[in-house]
Amino acid sequence: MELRDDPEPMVVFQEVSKVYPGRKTLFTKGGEDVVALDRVSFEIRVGEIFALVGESGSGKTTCGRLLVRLEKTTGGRILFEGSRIDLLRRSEMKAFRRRVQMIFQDPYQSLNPQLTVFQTVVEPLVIHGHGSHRQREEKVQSVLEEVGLKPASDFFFRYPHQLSGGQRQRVAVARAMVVEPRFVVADEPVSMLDASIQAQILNMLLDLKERYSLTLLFITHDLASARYVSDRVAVIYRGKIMEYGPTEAVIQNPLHPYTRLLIRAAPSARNRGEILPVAACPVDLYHAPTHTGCRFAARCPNCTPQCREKEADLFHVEAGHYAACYLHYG
Amino acid sequence: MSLLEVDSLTVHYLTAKGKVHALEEVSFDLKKGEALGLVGESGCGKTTVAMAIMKLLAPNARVLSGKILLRGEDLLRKGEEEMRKVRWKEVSMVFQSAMNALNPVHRVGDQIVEAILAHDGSFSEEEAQKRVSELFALVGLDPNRMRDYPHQYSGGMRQRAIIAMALACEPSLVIADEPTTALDVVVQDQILGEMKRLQMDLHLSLLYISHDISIIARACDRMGVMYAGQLVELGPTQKVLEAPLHPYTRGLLNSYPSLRGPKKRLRPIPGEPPNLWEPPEGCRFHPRCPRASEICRSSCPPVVSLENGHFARCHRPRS
Amino acid sequence: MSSREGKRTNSSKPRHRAFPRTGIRWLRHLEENWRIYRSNPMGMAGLVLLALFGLMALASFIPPLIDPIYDPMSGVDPIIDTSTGPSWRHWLGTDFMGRDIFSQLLTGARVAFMIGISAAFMAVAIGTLVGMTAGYFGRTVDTLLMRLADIIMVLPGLLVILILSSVVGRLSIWNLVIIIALFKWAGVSRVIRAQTLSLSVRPYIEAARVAGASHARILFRHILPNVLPLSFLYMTFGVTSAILIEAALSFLGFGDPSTVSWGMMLQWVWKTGHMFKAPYWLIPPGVCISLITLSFYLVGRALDEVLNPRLRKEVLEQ
Repeated sequence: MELRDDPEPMVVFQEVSKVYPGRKTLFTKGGEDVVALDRVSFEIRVGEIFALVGESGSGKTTCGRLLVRLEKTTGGRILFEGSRIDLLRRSEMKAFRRRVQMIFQDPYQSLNPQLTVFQTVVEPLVIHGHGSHRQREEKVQSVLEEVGLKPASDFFFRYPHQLSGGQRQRVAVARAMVVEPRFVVADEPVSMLDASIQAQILNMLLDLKERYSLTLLFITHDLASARYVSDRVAVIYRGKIMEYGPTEAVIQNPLHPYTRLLIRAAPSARNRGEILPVAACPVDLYHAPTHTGCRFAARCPNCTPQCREKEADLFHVEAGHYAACYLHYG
Repeated sequence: MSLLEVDSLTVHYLTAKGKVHALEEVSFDLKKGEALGLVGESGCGKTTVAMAIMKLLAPNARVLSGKILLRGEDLLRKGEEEMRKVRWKEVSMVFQSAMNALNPVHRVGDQIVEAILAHDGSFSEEEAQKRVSELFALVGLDPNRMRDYPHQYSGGMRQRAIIAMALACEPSLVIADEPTTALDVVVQDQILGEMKRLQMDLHLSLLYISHDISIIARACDRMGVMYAGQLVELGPTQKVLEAPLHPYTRGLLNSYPSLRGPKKRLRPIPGEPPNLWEPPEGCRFHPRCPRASEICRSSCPPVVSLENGHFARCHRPRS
Repeated sequence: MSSREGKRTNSSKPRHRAFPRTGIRWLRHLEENWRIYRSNPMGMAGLVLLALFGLMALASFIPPLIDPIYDPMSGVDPIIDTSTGPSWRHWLGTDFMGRDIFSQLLTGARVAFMIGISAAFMAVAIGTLVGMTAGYFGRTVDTLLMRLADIIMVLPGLLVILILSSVVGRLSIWNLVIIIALFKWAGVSRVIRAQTLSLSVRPYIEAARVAGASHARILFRHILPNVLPLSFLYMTFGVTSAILIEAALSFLGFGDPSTVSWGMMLQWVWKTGHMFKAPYWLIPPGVCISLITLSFYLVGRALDEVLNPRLRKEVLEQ
């Protein structure tokens, strides 16, 4: 289905699927295929922060990895600025690599332990042949200060193990920003950090977005931080988008029962909230999804016989707000 | 009377790089049937508190001073043999990583039976089996799945099994160190609800330890906030959240984005926690504190109480 | 040099200086690693032994300078024409031709180092390259290279060399080195491949890919420095086996007759029927072979402990 309400979106996912084949060997029959993404469609508009929210194993990270071409799709297409990213020629690919960057989840793993901060941050400039040695030095210095590592020269020769988690993530952001990309995929950029550092990094991302008029895909499991940074949000469950729309609309008026469950279960520092009565929660949440029907049916309080037969498609409910649920059909 | 009383506990770690001031003068108490939460960022010493109570501190740890009284008896004076009787039967622990706490090659039920038999000689094998199926029902697991292996369980089920194991010997105190960190929000919510119910039904005392203030907010009656090895605030959860006394608590609360209410820009605490090899002079929070004054830089603040049962370690607590 | 380097990285504020172009962290952390190494008594024993053999190898240049009769190969004592026991003139006695056993023994140390280190270096260089390529590119490349490695690993190396040398005639010492290297790279490549496989899914490698790094850049800039310590470790083990192979071949009579190695000395003892008559001639090279392989092995084990924190007895707080 077509979900086009912006004439020139930066990124378009059209029915994107990703299936990991079950391994077959000479002696085993091979496991079942794992469907990480099932015909996922959405678009990211120029200059917005788009959040993708889901639990672990929902396929949210796969979306990001497909988008930066760390993996290949098995179905559908992904467009970046109007062109299919799987058909890029060599020179176009190089330009793509400069325009699209990624920030990874774990700052302890995403920096090479053998390289200094300077070597890490300068690398994209070297790869893309930017400027002279002197200019690169200046660029690295200014980008490090921009991500809050001041004075930059204090950090040039440090190794990752000499930095705190927050500082490492700042270095990772600097590495992504140093080539002045148009679009950044941030895959759970704060989930490994302490709360006070998380907020610092989120604010920094918001500032960078303003200054560089960046477009961001923000992948997270935490609805509250998605609400904090994003303009629009998609809620993904087991490889399918369940709800999709302007962030405030989704948070204030969740349409899909899954989104409602997520919002109700989200803990809050400010108000204590009441504990859900245990009886309302099914004990075994993880029995295999039924192959026909809605993948959320087993957990859904509003489940109808129709839901068990056929899965609902994403349906436009109100002003750019979509939900994949029969509750809102017609 | 308090079930557990920790009194000015000071612990250092001796490392190759020098002495780590991991805990300094930490005092709190925990009543019967109460849930107390300790919240703090990584490296603030909250896990050291748990390990000190269990007497499972790393060999390079040195308890310099303090008492840990369980029903009036000082655990720090007990020998290893006596501690073995206390662990599991009096105080048990739910560990952070449920994945690692269960042995993958043994059936889940058998592992709990094993734990019961090892700690309580009065049980026969059949009685232990029966007890495990009761425990399974208690924590919301299907007793028919006792014979499954850990990999056949989901993350939430494993965490429930770990809780069942912690409850096996009917302890009066359960320490939960980041009990839900690896779990998704919905499952996390259920586990917390389950533990709340157990706390009520069994009149259990719970000591939660977490980096996430929202989990403590949801699960605990009282909460303590730890920073750089010190307990900087302690009080009823509602009071601490609504009228924090210590500027660190306030900063921490301002760091969490919220799903409810209007969207506000977060005002996180600037800077990073100090390293505990050389903690700052005076108040350990003063380099990051917006309200720091001369006295904060020079002398370590005393614990003050502004309201009944609400304490803060601060020179200038906000009333 | 090591202490200065160590201090520089440990201080929190490094001084400004020219931009370092390359960085291999484990070299910079020499000081800390040395501390861990030192705590292993067996490793220290190995190192002391190695130092002694090193001294022997250096000292091997001295006797021929004192008097040409001490030349290990051609120096024949004019007043002796048969094997004699230890004396002031010949500390360990002479062999069947009246050559000085002590200076032969010293030269043997030099030859052992030469063979051991060069063969191991070649084997490890090939093995590292093949392993990295196989692990990084995977698929067909991996399958082809690893099947080749399997074939080489199951070949009975010694037998093949024996056959080769009987076909080609006598092998020179350098041919021998090359053949040993060609047999020994396979094991190294397996280990390096496994390491590369685990490295290439690390987020920092993926980050380099997203930044647009070429395969060569990822391999040599990001993966190589992380596998080099392991390669170095396997080199120490490789030296041991190279020395043993050479000794075995020489003893069996397939060595290079123009080189004095310990294996060759043993062969001379045996061939001239002095096996049970001249312990002063038989025992020193035998003991030397055992001790040098032992010392490389001990050093390797201790290095293993330095590089694999899991093997360390004492776990240090970060």
